[in-house]
This record gives sequence, C-alpha cells and structure tokens, in this order.
Amino acid sequence: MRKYLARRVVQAVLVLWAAYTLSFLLLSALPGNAIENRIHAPDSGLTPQDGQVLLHYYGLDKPVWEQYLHALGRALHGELGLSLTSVQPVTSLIGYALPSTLRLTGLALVAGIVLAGTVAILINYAPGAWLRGLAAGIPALFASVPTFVVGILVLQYLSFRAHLIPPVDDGSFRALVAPAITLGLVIAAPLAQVFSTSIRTTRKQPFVHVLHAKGAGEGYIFRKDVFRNSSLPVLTLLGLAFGELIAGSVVTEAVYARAGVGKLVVDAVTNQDLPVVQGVVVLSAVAYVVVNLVVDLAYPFIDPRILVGRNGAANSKGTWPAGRWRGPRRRGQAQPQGLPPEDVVVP
Amino acid sequence: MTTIRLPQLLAAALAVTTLTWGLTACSASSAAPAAARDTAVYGGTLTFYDPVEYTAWQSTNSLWSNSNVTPSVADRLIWQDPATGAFHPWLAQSWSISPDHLSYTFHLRPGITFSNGDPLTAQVIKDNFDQHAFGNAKLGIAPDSFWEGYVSTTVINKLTFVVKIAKPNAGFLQILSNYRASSILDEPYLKLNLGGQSLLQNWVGTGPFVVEKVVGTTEVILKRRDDYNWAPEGYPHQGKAYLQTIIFKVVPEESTRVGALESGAAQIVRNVAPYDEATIKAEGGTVVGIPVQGETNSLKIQLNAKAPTQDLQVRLALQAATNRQEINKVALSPSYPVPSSALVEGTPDRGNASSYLAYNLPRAEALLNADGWKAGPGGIRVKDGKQLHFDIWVSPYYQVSLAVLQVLQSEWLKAGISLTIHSASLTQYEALEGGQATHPSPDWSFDQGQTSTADPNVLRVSTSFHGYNAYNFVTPDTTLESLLNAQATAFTPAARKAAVQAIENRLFSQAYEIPLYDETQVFGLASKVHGFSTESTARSWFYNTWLS
Repeated sequence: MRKYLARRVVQAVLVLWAAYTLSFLLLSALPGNAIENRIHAPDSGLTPQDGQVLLHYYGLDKPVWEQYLHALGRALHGELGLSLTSVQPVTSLIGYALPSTLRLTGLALVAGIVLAGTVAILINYAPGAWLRGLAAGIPALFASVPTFVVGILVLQYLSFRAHLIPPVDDGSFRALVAPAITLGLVIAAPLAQVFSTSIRTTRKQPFVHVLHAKGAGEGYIFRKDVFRNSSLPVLTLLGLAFGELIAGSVVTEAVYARAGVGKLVVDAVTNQDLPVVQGVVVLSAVAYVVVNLVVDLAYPFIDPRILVGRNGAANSKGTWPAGRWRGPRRRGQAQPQGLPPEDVVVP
Repeated sequence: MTTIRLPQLLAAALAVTTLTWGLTACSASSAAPAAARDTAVYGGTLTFYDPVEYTAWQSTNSLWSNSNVTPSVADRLIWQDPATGAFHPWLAQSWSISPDHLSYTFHLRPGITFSNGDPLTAQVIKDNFDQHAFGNAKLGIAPDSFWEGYVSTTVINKLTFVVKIAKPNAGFLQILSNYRASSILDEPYLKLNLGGQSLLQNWVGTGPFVVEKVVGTTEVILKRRDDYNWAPEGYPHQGKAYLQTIIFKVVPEESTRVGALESGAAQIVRNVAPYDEATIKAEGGTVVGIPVQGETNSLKIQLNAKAPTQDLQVRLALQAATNRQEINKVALSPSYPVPSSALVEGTPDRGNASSYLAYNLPRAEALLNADGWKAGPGGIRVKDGKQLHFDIWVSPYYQVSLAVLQVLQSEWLKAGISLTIHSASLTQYEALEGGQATHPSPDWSFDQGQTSTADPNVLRVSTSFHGYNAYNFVTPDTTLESLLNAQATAFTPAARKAAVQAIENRLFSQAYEIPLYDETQVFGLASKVHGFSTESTARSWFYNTWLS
C-alpha cells in the first residue's frame, strides 16, 4: 500500500512538471504576449522603445530557456510570477478566484450527482413504461441544451423578472444556487446515462435473479446490491466529470458574472497573460491528479476485487480494505459496463 | 442506440416549446419611464456594469474599463469641457503662456489636499510630470509618449511652477487636461514600482471619490470624499459629489448587463450593442451615445502593401463606393454619428470633409473604368488579368467591426470590388498587424482603427511618418508632414481650424483613409440616473451624477 502511494505521488510530481513545462513551451511558442499586445494596441501610446522598459521589468527580453529556469525555480517556491495585465502576483489572483470556483463546482457536483441519481433510478424503476421512457429522454435533453442558454433563461426569469436571485455574484448562497444547478446539468447528463445503463446491466445479472427468487424486494436489492455494483463506472466518470466542471465553469462564470478561475483563465487567454494561463494550468493539473488519485483509492472500498498489487497478485491477505465487502462473490461475474480499472482479478 | 419512442419525442417537443416561449417572452416589454425630478439629491449607491476585466491600474492605462473608474479618483490641472473643447481652471487656478509658446507658468489653487491629507504642491506636480515624460527604468515605469517634447518643470514656490517644452505645441494644454497623461497623484504612489502603481488601492488623488475597496480584477468600490471643494471653475455643481458610493463590477455577458439594467440591479451599463438599444429604451431606460473625440474609425490604407490601393484612382473609387449612411442604418444605430471629417463629431477645431465622403456609385464606377478596371466574371472588375480584390481582418478592438465590414463588403461589390473578410484572434491580429511595418504583406491593404484624443493634434500623432505612421508610408508625404506640423503651431482658433482643414483636404484628396463611423461609447442608463457625464474622451466622470 505504501509503495503504491509512493509510486502515485512520484507519478503526480512528474505529471505536474510535464504540465508546467509543456504549457510553458507551448505558450512561449505563440507569437506575442500581453506586453507586446499592449505596445501594439492602437490606443496604447507606447512606443516600441518604451515597451522595452516593460519587457525588461518582466524579464521577457531574456532567452526562453533562461525564462523557463527562472520560472521553474520560482514555481518550486510556490510563486507563479506576476500577471502581465494586472501586474498582481498570479497566486493572489488565483487566491481571489479559487474559493468562488470551489463553492460553485462543489455545489454543482452535488447537484449533478443528485440529479443524475434521481434520473437513473426513474429510468429503471419508475412505474409505467411511459414515465420510464420520458425519463430516458432527460439525459439527452440535458446534454443538448448549452449551459449559456440555461443560464440566460434562468437569469431572465428568476432574476430579472421574479427577482428571486441576484443577477451577478454578491457572495451570498442565494447567488450560488442557480449557477451551481446550471453547471450541475452539464455533468448530470453523462452520469445519469452511465448510471442507468449500469443499473440495467447489473439487474440482468444472475445473482439478482437469485435474490429475486429468494424473495427480496426491488428496493432492498437496489440498496444492498445493485447500487454498489452499478456505481463503479459512475465513479470513473466522476473523475472525468471534474474536468467538465472546470470547463463548464468558464461559461457559467461568464454568464453569471462570477469572478472565478474560469473567468480568470478566459481573460488571461484573451489577453495572452501567459503567467496567469500557466498558473491555471498548474492548478488544474494539481486538481486532476488529486481527484484521480482519490478516485483510484476509492475503488477498492466499493469493489475489493480491485487490487492494488502488481501482476494480479491476489489480495489474499485481505488487508486493504479488509472484510468490508458483503456482496455476492461469484466466479466469472462480468464487470459492469464502463471503464474497468486495471489489475482486476476474480477471487 | 435505442429507437426514439413517443414519450421522448414529447419531452423534446415540450422542451423546444418552453424555450421558444421563453425567448419570445424575453423580448416583451412593460415598464414606463419614471418621472424625472429637477433638483439633485445627495447620497445613494450607483452600480456600474462594465464588460471588460480590469487590468493594471497605472495612471497611463487607457483601457476602457479602467478609465471609466480612474477619472473620478484623480484630477488634472485643467478641465476640458467635453461639449465645447474649452479649457477651464481646475487644480491650477490660472496659467500664462510665454510669447514663444515654450514656457507655461501655472498657479495652483490653494487649499487642495490629497485624500491622505497631504497638500497639493508644485513639487508633486513636477514629480508627476517628470515620471510621465522620462519614465523610471528602475521602477519599471515606461516613458509616456504623450509627453514627447517635454523639457522640464521648475518649481518657483509652493504653488507656482513653470513647465518647459522643446517645440511649440498647440495641443499641449489638452495633454495637461487628459486623464491618462496628466492625472495628478501623490508622492507615495510615484515612489512605487510598476507592481505597486498597478494597484488601485495605492491611488492617492485629489478627486471627488476615493478608493474604498478593490476585489481582484472584477470589482471596485469608490466612496465620496466629503471635503472635496475644488470642482472645475464655472462647473454648474460645486462642493462634494452627489453619490455616496459607486460600485463597479465586471459583467461580461451582454444580456446580463441589459437585463440587470431592467431589473434595477445596475443603474449604468457600458458598451450597449446597437441591437440592445431598443430593448433598453423600451424598458424605460436611456441610451447615451458619446462620440469618442479624436480620429473617426476608419480603414487606413496601408501604402507599403503591394496592392491596387497604391493607385490613387482606386483609393478614390473605394471612397466613393462607401455608403456611410447605409453602414449607420444597417450595422449601427443613431447613437453613432456618420463621419463627415477625419475627426469625430465634437472634436475641437475639426474640419469638414463631407464633399470627399459623399456616396457616389457612378463616380466610383467611372473612376475605375477610366483606370482600366473592366467588368469581369462574377461582377468583379479585372485589369491585366488581375481581379480587383482585397482582404481585410476584423479588428478585435471594436465590437461593431464585423457588422460594419459586412455592410461595406456588399457596398463595394456593387462597384465590382471584391472584399474578403477574415476573423482573427487578438493574438493573430497583433502578429499580422505588428509584422506589417517590417514585412509588408500585399493582403494587408487596410488597417481598421482610430486614436482618441480631444485635439486635432491626434492626426499628427497617428498619421505622421514620424508618429504611429498609420498609413505605413514608405517615404514621408512631405506636403502632409508640413501641414501636420503647421497645425501644432497655429495658436488662434481660426488659424488652427484652417490648418486642420488643410490636413483633411490633403488626407482625402489622396484618399489615405476611408472613414466608417464615428467611434462612440454607448451607455445604458436606468431612468433614475441624472446628470451622467464624461470627461473629454467619453470616460465616465461621476462628480455630477445623482439618483432620484
């Protein structure tokens, strides 16, 4: 276990370094930067000679490799440099933006999971074929209505007409609910789709028939067996959905005028504010690495057949997580549909 | 894939219906304008929505979003009346100019203090001007090109100083009145490096408002300074400002800004699109279009591009084939004046170029026929086997650019001129535009843009071979250069006006540029906003604004 964790941490550091270096190289390869844009802007009043003073101040007149080494050394100390447009430390800009985005994506994640769970259960268990059919259309609907359309309609009705929510972020929880649900819809669609398919597959498993035969009710079987068996692909997808949340927050934050990381990166990209773009890349990489590590570590708690050892060495010692699994153990049981994690053995 | 069943179809249909109904309802209108009140009221909080994120708060930053905040925080020596262009005493109570127009002696108004309590002295002014003119490499402060030709400031006593310039410049007083060139800030600010000067919290000015709070790059709160008592001389309102608090917020989404104005969440929004103006008016709000004094927004012919535009007859034909009335009607709104000069409506001493700018399709056709451009396939003219074709890149700086160019494209086609419009990101655009000076491309025959300053000297700054060289002259047009210089030494209004007219005659007889529209800032105001005004280049100045 310790070895596994150590390997993952080393991996994580390598991923972060690669993300930092690649983004630095790619961004350096682009023509121009925020300072040069400012020098060239028609209303800037700066001559190229004046611009030299600025380029020197930021160290942008040095060779790229020198800039890279300097930036890397700085990054190791937790400093990400100065924004080229606002001349504020990138870390403090992210510091302003991050809490707002964390609140937004956190609540959106909860909203998305609740929504997806409800829809998936409706699709499989709702009374009446017509209701199940109706529910089956919901994920497609969620997926096909763009976030900004939902956002604009929500603002029109709930804010501008009904005055129920403030149109822009005023820091209150009331201002957070609508953006979070709007963003939650984005991830609810694929989650609901995968979860409902997964439930359907699991319910076709022989062990479910056995449970039925033993006289267990639908509700009992779902809670005790189907839910857990069906949730593995959903967990995998959640790790990926996190990326969608970040991407979705760009649009959501623009529509609801929330000063978050999404808005920060949009403005930084538009202005070619490279240190800020890079700061957000590093932040996203950290978040991805952490989330996926957490997801990977969470698998065995749901399905102990997933082993962390190499070469499929069975978790015969039953050390981690020991004896938490009380579900059916059946030889040759198919994995639920979705993305099977690596190193699966059947005890 | 499963087959689509009736309930799914129904759900989809229901969704579409809801959306359509929602969008229809969005365009419906209700409110009626509230009754206006005559007497100004003190107090209240005004919320101002701006689409653009704030950048560094250096005093020379002219970005629209920043510069709608800063004029309310810092004052200048001189106030330029945006309506008349006349100069009025402000921080300086009087001034005199030497006969050779090289020395300006100023007397400061006594009793003025900065928001930290420091008195305003001649020494502070000198330090401000020196930093603008010479910059400070150690602090990372670049010299300000507005201050080219500045020699020195000599402090005579606490309230008197003499500013010396190298060459006579009829536009110099205007520079001293300009918010981005001459806003006076206190010593602690001037001693900061670029990073420090880029924080609005560090601004210490003499203005009617002070900075209360800055939230990242998206929100600013100003509060009134109650002991403010040095408004420009002769200004209808004196003493402290009316508003107690102003909240500036960055709201990029257009529909949110317009909707917030309707719902009362914001009282003023900036950058209203032409198609939103009717919505705001229908909801009882006011649309205020303020022409941005300086150059009109025009296509500057790139004379170093090896294109048919090197031929004067073709340039004159392009000018005659351009219908500015139609551009205004189709792509813009009545808020935008139709250009009749190289300078925007309201710019002091501007000339009249209407005779050059009249739409005349037969003339365009006659010019091209005489020049050997004959009708060709697809209605595009041909000469020596080459089509009369141009490319243009949409300027990313102006929100109406694309719509305007699309109208122009259809107009030129009527005269047999083909125009292809390209869209580029800001980055690509900068690279293309920047490369033009050194590696001219035959495709970059036009550059859309304008420079704003409420003085005709802006023409020299922008078009002179020795200035921005906006037309990319390969060799200077000596006639134009001498006219541009003559304007700067014409010191009586009549002489200045005649000198500017001579420049315009030269510009348009050579058809160096094709004006498209007068650059205009469009604000949306809630009905309760009164006394909204701007400084001379259309940046908000909230001193006189009040809420009913």
